[in-house]
Amino acid sequence: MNPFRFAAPPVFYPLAGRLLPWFTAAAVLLAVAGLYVGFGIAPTDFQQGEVYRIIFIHVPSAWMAMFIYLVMAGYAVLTLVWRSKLSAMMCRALAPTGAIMAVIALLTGAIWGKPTWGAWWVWDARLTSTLILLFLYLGYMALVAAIDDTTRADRAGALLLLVGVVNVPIIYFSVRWWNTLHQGASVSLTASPKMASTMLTGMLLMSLAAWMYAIAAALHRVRSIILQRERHTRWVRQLFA
Amino acid sequence: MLESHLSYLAVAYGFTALAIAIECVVLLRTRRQSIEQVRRERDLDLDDHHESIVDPRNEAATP
Repeated sequence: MNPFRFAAPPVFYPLAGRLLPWFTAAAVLLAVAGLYVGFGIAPTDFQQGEVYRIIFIHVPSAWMAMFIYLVMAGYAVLTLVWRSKLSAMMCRALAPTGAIMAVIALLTGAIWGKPTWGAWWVWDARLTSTLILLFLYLGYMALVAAIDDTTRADRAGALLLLVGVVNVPIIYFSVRWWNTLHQGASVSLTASPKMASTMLTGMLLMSLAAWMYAIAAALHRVRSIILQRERHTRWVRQLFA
Repeated sequence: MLESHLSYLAVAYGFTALAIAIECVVLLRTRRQSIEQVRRERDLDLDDHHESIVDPRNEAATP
């Protein structure tokens, strides 16, 4: 079986439609489980009290904001090298969800920062680089919307994505490279977790929920984009015959 | 202190729920608009095609 055949919109469109309910259901179930563990089982933090429970949305949204950008950069490479139509559509489909994740991460971080740091915002390396990530998402969306020629818009957007991807490792390593007010990594592959196992479980469940939600939202949006771009083709018209 | 922490939590989770709800509404609306656009343009093309068949100039050209 040739995996590249899924890059064809007539093949991918029905596949995305079949996958969509599963990812949506998984997102809801994982979010319910994550909130139950986060609020019902995980203990109160001995230093921060109850407010630490913002972690169950702040960390997953921050991870997703970074990860979605990396995925978009991967699709940007496919757009530029193989001129894959679906890759460009996936970039456009992922961008709003990535931007929303960045907004959630920034705002929940500000809400968490006020009672713990005493400030809504500081020009810390982690916060500032995450704000730049949000601007990259907004810049990408504005750029592709401003160019009428779809192919040119896709290529310009892909270039912007590739230039901006340098910001992702800066976000991730900022807490190591600079002295920042922001705490270090919550979870590391090389070190044991610094939090109670129930807190970690709740956070990982919510992270999985965020993954499933982002995939579901991207699949839903890319189906609309496919319809808009391929609306003059016979296969799209036969869908609604 | 507990009440103040709970209000921070409520604002954070409330904002997140609102953001996701807005995205879901926009997703559904965009999908509906895309389907309507496909149907509208297909119907317009069908009308044009029908007009070209019954166009008297076509009939005049027919022996």
